[in-house]
Amino acid sequence: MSSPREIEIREQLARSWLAVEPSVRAYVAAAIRSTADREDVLQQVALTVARRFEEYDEKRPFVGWVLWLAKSRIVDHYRSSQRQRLVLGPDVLDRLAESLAATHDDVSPRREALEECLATLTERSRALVRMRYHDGLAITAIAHGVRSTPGSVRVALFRIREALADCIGRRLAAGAGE
Amino acid sequence: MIDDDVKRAIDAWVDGDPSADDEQTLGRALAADPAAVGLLADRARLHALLRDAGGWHEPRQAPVVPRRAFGRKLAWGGAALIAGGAGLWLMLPPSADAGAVDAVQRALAASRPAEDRRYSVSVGPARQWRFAAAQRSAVPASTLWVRGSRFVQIALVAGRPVAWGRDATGAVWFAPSRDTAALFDATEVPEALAEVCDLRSLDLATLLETLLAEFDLQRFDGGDGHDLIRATPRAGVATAYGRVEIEIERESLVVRRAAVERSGGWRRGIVVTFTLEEIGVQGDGVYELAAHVDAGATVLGRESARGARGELLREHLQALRQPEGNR
Repeated sequence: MSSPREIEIREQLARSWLAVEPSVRAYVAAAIRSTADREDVLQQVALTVARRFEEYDEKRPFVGWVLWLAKSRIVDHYRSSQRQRLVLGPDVLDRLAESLAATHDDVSPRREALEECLATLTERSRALVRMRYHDGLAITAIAHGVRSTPGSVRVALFRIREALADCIGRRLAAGAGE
Repeated sequence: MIDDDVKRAIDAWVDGDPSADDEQTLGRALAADPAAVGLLADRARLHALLRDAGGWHEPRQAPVVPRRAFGRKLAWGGAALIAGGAGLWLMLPPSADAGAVDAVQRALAASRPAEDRRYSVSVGPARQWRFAAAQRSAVPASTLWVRGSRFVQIALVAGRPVAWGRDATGAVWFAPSRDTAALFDATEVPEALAEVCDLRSLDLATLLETLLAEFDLQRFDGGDGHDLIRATPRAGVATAYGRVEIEIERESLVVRRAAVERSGGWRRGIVVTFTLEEIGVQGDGVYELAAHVDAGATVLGRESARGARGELLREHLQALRQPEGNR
């Protein structure tokens, strides 16, 4: 049976992880090419955080500590998969982690802005986003579904993400100015 | 100012779909331009948020609330919250949303148990369980054909098709390959197999009846000619489901998507999403084991060595169940 202290630690771990998970997911997405490998690495990071949680020094930001652990798992991943070249060098990984840690506190307003921006998309654009992110369909499958070509779908999704990024930036700036 | 080619390369990389040229462009830009690193971080964050938003996202719209509930809606307006558990979820007061009830009743009346329907089925965690989910293997998606209580489900496990189903007699079969299968009469289906069947199956009429009997319903204009119904269990009612979301095409009354959050035991927090792909006519044979194994295959039945069927299930079922993280 778990002691009250163990239960408390587990709850603290779960809360802390949920708070940083979007930043870790973003870090892994930025660093690893294959979407399937990203899930594996994210699992590894979660396991590492769980195993080493008692080492965490509460005086330091949790997100920075977790991204530091994530960097190690990413480098391990590239070492173990010899066919893949490390496109992002260690210094780039460090700068990415810094950038994500610096904007970590923006996640909630960013998420709210995204929801508002998604609502401004056309129905067709929303359908593409949904197929890509909700249904997890590959570009070729989406192209088949909407009777288009993979190239056209790639371009459309690129433009949608550009539009969403601009929209989010405007809304965050407007929020900061209030 | 970042070059468009670099933006495209970053976008393709984050989307998991870069060409060799994209990778070269990306590598050069990241080495030379600090702003490119910032853009990569920004786009990767967008990618991660889109994944989360995509889970249950529909365009933010006011729920369609009948006029008589309007006063209550205003009274609760200040308390409307966005809950993090599953993207946007407006916590509005429980109300008898006549439009929602009517839409579900009409979809129920229009559902025809004799039709064969094909769904893609995905099994995933509700977001609040993501940490547990991160500790476990991905569970394979599957394709479901269903007609009334009959169904056949096919999933790719490690690149090989695994099929299981229930035939017209109620017998349940499980075929991890085309040369081996286990067959159980309706009265002897082991719990583990019954759970997998139950988790991934969709008896549409039963689901809609349950929603009408045990859930508070809200209707949203989902755009694209469909109603979005969000259902939450009524307070104090024990149901097999947590939250449920269904999409009903207004014209045809076809339920084209159902996302069902399971509740209770190890399935708590699991969301099973059924997306309608086809309504058609299949022969009865598609629901029978014979269609999914080769002639001469070993079929383990009641007469087989004691424990042989259980051994086969133990070996293959785990990949299809939701795992330890949720138990």
